[in-house]
Amino acid sequence: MPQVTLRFFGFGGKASGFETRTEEVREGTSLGQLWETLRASAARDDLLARIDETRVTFIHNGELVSHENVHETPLKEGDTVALMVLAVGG
Amino acid sequence: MTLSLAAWLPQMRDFDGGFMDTITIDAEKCTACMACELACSFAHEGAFVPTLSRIRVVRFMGEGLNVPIVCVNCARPACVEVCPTGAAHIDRSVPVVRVNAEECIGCGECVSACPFGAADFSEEKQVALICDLCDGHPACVEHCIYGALTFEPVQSLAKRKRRLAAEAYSHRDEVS
Amino acid sequence: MIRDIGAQRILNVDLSSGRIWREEVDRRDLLQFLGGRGINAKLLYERVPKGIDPLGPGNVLIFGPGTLTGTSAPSSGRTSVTCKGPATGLYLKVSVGGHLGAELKYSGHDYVAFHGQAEHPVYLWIDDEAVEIRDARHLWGLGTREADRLIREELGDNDIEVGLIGPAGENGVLFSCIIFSLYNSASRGGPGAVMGSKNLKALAIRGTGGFRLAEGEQFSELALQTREELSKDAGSESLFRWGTSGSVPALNELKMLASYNFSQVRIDDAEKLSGQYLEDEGYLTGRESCFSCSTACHRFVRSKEHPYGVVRDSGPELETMLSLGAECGIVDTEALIKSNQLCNDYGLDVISAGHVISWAMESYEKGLIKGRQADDLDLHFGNVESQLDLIRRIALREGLLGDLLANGTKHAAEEVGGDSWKWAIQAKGLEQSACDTRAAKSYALAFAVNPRGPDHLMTECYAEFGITEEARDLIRRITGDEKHADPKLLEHRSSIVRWHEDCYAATDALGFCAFTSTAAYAVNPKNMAQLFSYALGIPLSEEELMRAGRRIVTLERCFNVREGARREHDVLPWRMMNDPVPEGPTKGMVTDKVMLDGLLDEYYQMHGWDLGTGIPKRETIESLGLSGLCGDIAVD
Repeated sequence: MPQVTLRFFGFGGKASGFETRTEEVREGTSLGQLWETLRASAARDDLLARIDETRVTFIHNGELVSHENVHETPLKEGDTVALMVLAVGG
Repeated sequence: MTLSLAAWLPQMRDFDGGFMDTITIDAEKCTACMACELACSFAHEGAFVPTLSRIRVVRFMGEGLNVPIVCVNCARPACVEVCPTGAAHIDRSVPVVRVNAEECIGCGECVSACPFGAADFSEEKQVALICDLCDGHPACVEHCIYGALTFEPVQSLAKRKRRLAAEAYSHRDEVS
Repeated sequence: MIRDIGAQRILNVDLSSGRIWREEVDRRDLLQFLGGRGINAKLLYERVPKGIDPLGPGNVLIFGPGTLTGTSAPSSGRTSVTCKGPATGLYLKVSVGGHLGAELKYSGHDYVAFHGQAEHPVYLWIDDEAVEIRDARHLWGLGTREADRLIREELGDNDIEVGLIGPAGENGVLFSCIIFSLYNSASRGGPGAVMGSKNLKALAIRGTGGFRLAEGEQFSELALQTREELSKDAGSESLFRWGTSGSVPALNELKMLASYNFSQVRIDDAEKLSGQYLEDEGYLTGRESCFSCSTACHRFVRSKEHPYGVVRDSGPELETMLSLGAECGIVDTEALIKSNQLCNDYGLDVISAGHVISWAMESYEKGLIKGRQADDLDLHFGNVESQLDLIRRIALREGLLGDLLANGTKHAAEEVGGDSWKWAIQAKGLEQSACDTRAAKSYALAFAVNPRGPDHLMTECYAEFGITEEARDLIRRITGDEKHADPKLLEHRSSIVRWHEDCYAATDALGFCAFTSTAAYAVNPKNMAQLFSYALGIPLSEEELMRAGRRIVTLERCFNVREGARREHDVLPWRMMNDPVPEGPTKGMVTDKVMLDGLLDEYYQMHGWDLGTGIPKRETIESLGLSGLCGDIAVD
């Protein structure tokens, strides 16, 4: 099964909100489907489980993916996916 | 504990004893937003006037430390003990300390007597400011979104503290 | 004194004569200009005529908290500081948080305006109605931390509020700031220098009063509801956990992290510049809020290894991490904790400080500054010791380089010559904040037309990134379609900027934090107007609120037009207009003259300003009811 690199920013159990890991996905899985899978397997109190898809920023191979395209973006071997809850600054 | 001379006046009050709920603080969570002060003054006076709030945040800005100081609802309140007129009295229905404005003579003995600095006096209203726990639903606690204030039985605080102290022992058998 | 919140008073202090007098604000002006930034702008326009020297006695320095500051409205504790700016010679409004604004209002005063110039260093002590000008000669030369401590000691009250300058303001550094409540800064454009030029070291306040509102219950309920909405916003949660520098890792991942004086868009080890790192590595010891705020975005840290001495102080926030960090090629957390603390203590704007130093570094690496002119410092990118040294030199105007840089990159580049002006990331005389205006087109337009120079804390169109559903919804409401939430587009940018200008001005005028109305949207024109109405008991509609915002923005434009600003001044820094983004998803982008002209044409048209000059037309001035004030500068 193809492997993609997953990076999390702003989620997760770790205080840092950083996490990089590899994830196996079925051939042809979309970014949206991967998101659903991750959510379903997250702990109940994890932000990952609670947060709405519309509040997450999806980055696929360094490019911002607009929301209507999240479920249309297929993943393949070696892809990098970054999921972030983007903070604001100033 | 600083008690004034008036503390030992013959008007000692009777106490049922018994434990009462109290506002406990976690200073590490306090960010000095002052929502508690605004909520308290609004609940009591219908106005935003921090100097009429019964809860005040004390800041140590060189350390980034903020400490909310509020009445802890003593079972045997010093403020009531020292009050020469009985203006400060215990309302047993809650139970909580109340100040009867007509009887308050503004002597400041309650301010002197409270070991926590939680009693104050308002120039504006010419009355002592002592927390009345908002009759059991403290507005300050409701408005603190950072969780620096909790309203709970004092035994709950005791349990938490016991467990924290006990945790020092809990990793003894851990093998890494 | 418990006051009616709609009965506003201005405290005037003439530092030349020592005269102190009060004025009432006409309630009609409150409906027209809302308060805070709005009334500040009107006062400045009326009292600072054309051609005044910003560092002379003719400038007026006005502190104006928002009309709702001092209430439970969420995150409503902000203050606007307004004057003629020394770096730009133009209108300057600076925004600052902390608790001073509320304390000022509780003292019975809604504005303080400083006129003239004191003969020797002084500070103002406002103790409710008792106002006193006190000697500050023993405080002059001291850092903000020490001076703040001494003021509290001599006034015998640890709970007062203090706003003050450090040595940088005293020495007229053109990017010196005013520190409020120790952790907050009225930073950009040099308001510290204006205060220093007046020999005014500090403003100390004790306010024991408060406010009774017209419809207190309804206000309180709506305020609480709004606060709860705000706390549910994922952005608020992130700001609380990691502060504003929580966005660093994502920006770096997206290759949108300006570094090496905007010559690159990412940097190795960027995590070390992040709020997440501050927490993980144990630097973070506390989170601090401004008055009435439930976000607590401020950090409080303690250094660990202490290579630069022990530091316990507020920050560092995003702008420090970007400007003093990535822009200078520095990813050393301990060093940035120290740089930030030095800037706080000397009283320097971190954005300009960082960009002035990064400019010097690029100039050095290109051989345009060297040897004696560099005060014999090694100014390669990444040199921490040099940065720390330079911060002191700039604040004290020490050495050739310190004195040169203290005047900002515009003047420094003029002196150094060669091509150095091309990498002076500034326009109108103000260093640009570290937002890439080549790739985000609403930002590009907003920065070009900003009356104080290319900066984000005036009109920030964060919604154009379309990160959240609320942001996309806003873009849809403004432009008709949420697919316009794309920062690369040139279309619809003007309407996006226009909406944000009005909303931002209203936000500032009422005292709200821009995070709540233009990054999260729980505070919005509708509930701002409703809260205003409940507070004052005077109905104000959403349209009237936004119109007042437009009125404020137009008045600010008029001030600049009067000073000689025209369309040709609405530009971006050279690098943003000529050096394309080197890599990443926005590779190759610039905002060149053709694009900018297109954006300006559309924007001026929407405003009803003359296309050629940028001067508001007569009918525009009339329709906004500004003829009385600005009729003489309008064009037909």
